[in-house]
Amino acid sequence: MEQFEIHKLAPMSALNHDISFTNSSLAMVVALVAVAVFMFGGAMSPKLIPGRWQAAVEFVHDFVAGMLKDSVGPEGRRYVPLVFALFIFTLACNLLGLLPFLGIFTPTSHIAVTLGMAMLVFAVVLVVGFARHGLHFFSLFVPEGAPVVLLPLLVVIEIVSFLSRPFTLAIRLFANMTAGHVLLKVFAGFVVGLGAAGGFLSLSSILPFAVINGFLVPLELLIAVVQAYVFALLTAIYLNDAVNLH
Amino acid sequence: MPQFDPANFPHQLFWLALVFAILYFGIIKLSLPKISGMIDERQSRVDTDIKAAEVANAKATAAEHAYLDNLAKSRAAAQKHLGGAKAESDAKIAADIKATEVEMTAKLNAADVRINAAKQQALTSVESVASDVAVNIVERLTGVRFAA
Repeated sequence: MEQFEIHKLAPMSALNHDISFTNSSLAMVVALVAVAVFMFGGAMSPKLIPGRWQAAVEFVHDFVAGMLKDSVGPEGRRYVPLVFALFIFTLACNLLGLLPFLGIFTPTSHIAVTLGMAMLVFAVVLVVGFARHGLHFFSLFVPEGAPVVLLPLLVVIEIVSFLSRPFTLAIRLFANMTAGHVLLKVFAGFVVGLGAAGGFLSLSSILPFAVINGFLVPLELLIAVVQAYVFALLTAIYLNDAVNLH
Repeated sequence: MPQFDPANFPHQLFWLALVFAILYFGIIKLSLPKISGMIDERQSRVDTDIKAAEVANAKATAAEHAYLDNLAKSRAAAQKHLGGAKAESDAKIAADIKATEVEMTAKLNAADVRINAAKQQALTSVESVASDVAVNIVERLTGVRFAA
């Protein structure tokens, strides 16, 4: 599991808390720079007829804006920057973490990072919900048209499912990233280990495992994109609850 | 797994907060509104152009209708004009024919009268010639001359 190991590059601390600059921080900064180059390169002087780069940024923008419009409605426009930031940061971390040889760390394979982002989403949902509906926001926990007898049970279930949202959101992303990297590592380990065994064993084993790993890499690329999408989509759906209540 | 080591949480959360704040306020908030503004501007431009095209289309349709109306009207007027002229000329021809007929009948009648008169006259002259001849014959034969 050394690919998930954290190395302190510049030990720091503040108020008795460890805030060292680590390989995780470095990977996040690299993702930040990549996003900055992508965004400023495509959006600094936008043209009416977009070039390739601007069209790429517009594509991602339309993707996020369309997602918010579908799940939240016209009000969703206000949250495009937030969901866009979450989506593109997750995507950058996921994809950069898959680059071989550079030894880049995947910040989204750590539950601290995914939980931090999920808590941000949870906090935004709470703030928006209470700001828009006040105490009426609690009606979110009362399903419409449910029989009165079942109501106490249903309210408890709704509250538990609401409170577990940040954890499911965080664990989904973290688990997908971790599992994907472990899988790639395990199959690559088979290839190396059996190759070292020599003779018939290496001849008959290297090829199948290498081929499987060759298929796993595009699969992991797909998962990297899909999980960033899922994170943004669930954020949009949770925002819909806060904006429209049911 | 290092993921579950609580010692790894504070610094990751700190750097995540810092990086995400820079990302949101320093990158996304500065660049994304330009893109969405441009997309909106493009959309409004396209909408205006489509509206202008629709107006122009309606104008062209109206002009075509006016032209066709005008054409039909002038055609009807020409038809009417043609019909009037034809009726007029027909009437004139009929009147001319009638006048000529009347004139001819009058001339015919006059000629008839003249022919009858001439005939009468001729018959009368034949009678006098015959009586003269008879008187002369009698005179020659008898030497007595009768008065006719």
